[in-house]
Amino acid sequence: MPEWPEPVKRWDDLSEDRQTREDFLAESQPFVRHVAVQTCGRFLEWGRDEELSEALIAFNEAINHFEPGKGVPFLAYARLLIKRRLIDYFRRQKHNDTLSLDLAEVNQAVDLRLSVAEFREREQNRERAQEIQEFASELSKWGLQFQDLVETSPKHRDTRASLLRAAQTLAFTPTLWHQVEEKGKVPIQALAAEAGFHPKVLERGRKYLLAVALLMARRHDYIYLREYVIPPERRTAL
Amino acid sequence: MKAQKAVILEKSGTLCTILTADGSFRTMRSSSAAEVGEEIEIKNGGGGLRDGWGGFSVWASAAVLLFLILTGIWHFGFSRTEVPVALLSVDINPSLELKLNAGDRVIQAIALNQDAESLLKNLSYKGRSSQEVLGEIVGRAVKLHFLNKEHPWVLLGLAPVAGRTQSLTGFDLSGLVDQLSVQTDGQGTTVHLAAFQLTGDQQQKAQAQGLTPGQYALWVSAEKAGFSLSAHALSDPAERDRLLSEPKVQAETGSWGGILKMGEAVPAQGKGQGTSNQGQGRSTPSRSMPDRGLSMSTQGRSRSTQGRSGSSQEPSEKRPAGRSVPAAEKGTGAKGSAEREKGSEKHKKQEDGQSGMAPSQTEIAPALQSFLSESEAGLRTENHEHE
Repeated sequence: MPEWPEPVKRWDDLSEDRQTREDFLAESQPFVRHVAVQTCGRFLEWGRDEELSEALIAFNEAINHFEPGKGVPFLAYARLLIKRRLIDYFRRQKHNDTLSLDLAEVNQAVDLRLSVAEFREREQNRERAQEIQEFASELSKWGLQFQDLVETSPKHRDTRASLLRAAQTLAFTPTLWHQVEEKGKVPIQALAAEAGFHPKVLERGRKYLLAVALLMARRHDYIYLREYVIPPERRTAL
Repeated sequence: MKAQKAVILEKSGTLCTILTADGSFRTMRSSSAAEVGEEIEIKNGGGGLRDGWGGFSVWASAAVLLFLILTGIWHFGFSRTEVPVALLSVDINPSLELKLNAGDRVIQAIALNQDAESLLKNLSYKGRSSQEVLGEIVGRAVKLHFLNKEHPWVLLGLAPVAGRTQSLTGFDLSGLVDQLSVQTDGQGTTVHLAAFQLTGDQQQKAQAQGLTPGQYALWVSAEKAGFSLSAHALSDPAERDRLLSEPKVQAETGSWGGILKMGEAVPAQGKGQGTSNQGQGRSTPSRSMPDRGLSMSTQGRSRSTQGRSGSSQEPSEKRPAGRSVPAAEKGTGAKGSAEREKGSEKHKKQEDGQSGMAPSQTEIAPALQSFLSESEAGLRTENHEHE
C-alpha cells in the first residue's frame, strides 16, 4: 500500500529548528502554489510571480502563529492566511480584477493578524462549508450526490476499513489515479490486483470508494473533509 | 457512550447528511441550529444530535434519542451493552452473519444474500443466545428446503470483529455445534455441520477476499488438501457442499481444529430405520495449536457411518459417511428398504471417491465400533503430537 504523501512532523521541531523549517517550507511549496493559483485565478511560477513570494511569507507566518492541539488543521489555517495576504497584496497593487474573489471580499480591509482561536471561532465553519460546496460540485462531475454516498457507505466497520484502505491505494498509486482521471471511472480489476481485495467488494462500494479517494487525492483542496477519512494518526499531522 | 465528531454536509428540512470521523456517510435528524460546515458530536450508535461547542442541552439530546427510538428509525448501531465483539457467519445456501456481544448474545443479524433475507424475516434475535438463534435459523432453513438431502451442510465461522486482535474467549463453538447437532438430529433432520474459529488477522484476510469467516476457512482447508480453486468459488453453495463432502478436505479441517459434525437424523419412531447413533463428537480441552496459517483450538472430530442395503463398508475406511435418512422414514420394512435404496443412490453421488455400497443395517454395530475405536486412537495420537 502506498505511503501517505505528507510525513508526520513534530511541531516543536518546526518552530525551533531552522533546518527543519526550511525543509518544511520547501516541501510545502506545492501547497502554497496551489492556494495562490486558486486565489489569483491564473498560472503562477516561482521566481517570476511576486504572488508566490507573498504566499510563502504568509505560510511562514502561519507556522509562527499556529497553535497545535486546538482542533484546527494547520493547512486550513495557513490557507486562509495565504488568501488574506494575497487579497491585501492586490489591494496594494490595485490589481483587483485579476482575483477570483468577490469584489465585496476584496474591498473589505483584510486583517492579516489572525490567531488560531479567532480562526476557529469566526472562519473555520465558513471555510469548511466552502470546502463542502466544492466537494459537492466535484462529486456532481462524477455523477454523484451525497445521498449516493449515504446509500453505499458500508455499514460494516470491517468493510468500511477495507474500502478506506483501497481508496488510499487508488489515490496514491499514480498509475491507478491517472486511469481514474483519464477515463472517469474506478479501475476495479487493476485496483483489486494492486490492493489485494476481491473485485466484488470494490464494485459494491464503488461510489463510496471514488468519493473517499477524491478526498485523499485532492489533499490541498479538501483539508477538512479528508480528516474524516484518513487514519487517526495522520489527522492534523502537525 | 463514546462520542465521535461529524461534519454536516447538507441539510434538507430536519434531515441532514453527515460525514463521521470513521469515514461513514449518514443521514440523521438535526435541529435547525446546526448548519452546513458545522462540526458536531454524535454518540457512537446514537441517533441524536449534540453540538460539540455547546448547542443542545443534555435534555434536548435525550429527547431526540427518545424520539428516534419511538419512531423506530434507530439504526445506527449499538449501546454500551451492545458492542459487538464477534461475528458468526452462517453459510447454507443463504448466507448471513450474526453479530455477538461479549455475553454471546445476538445483537444483529445481517443477511448477505436474498435467500438469507427470507430466512431472517420476522426473526426475533436481539438479546437471545447465539445457540438459540442459530437453532431457529437452521430450523427455518430446513422448513424452507434450503437444507435438504442434496444440500445438508451448514458452514459456521466465528471471528472477532475488526479492530480486535485478541483471540475470542467465552465463546464455546464446540458446544454450539454439539447442541445444534442434537437439536437437528432430534427433529429427524439430517444436517451436517462444519465450524471454524478465526483470529483477527485471518478475518481480515477473509474480508479482503470478500469471504465470510467460514468460507475463508473452508477455502484454506481445500487448498491445503490439494484443491486449487479461486476464493470466489466458495460463494457457490454447491461448491461448498462438494468440498465439505470431500474426505481430504474433511481430514484437513480436522487436522487443524475445525469441527465437523455429521448429522444422523433420529426418527421419532420405527425400528430398523437408520441407526440411533448420533454424531459422535470427541472433545478435548481447547488449546492453541501451532500456527499453520489458521490457529484454532483442538476439538474432537465426529465420525459416523450408517447402514444401507448393500455390501459392508471397509472397517479401516475412516471417511465419514454423510447419511441421508429421510425424516419421514417410518413404517414397514419394505418401505424402509425402498427409502434406503433411494437414499443410497443419492449417498453414492455425494461421496466422491467412495466405492461400493454402505453396509447393511445388521452390519453397522461391529463396523461402527471398530471405526470409532480407530478414530479415538487416531485422535489421541494427534493430540499427543501437538502437545
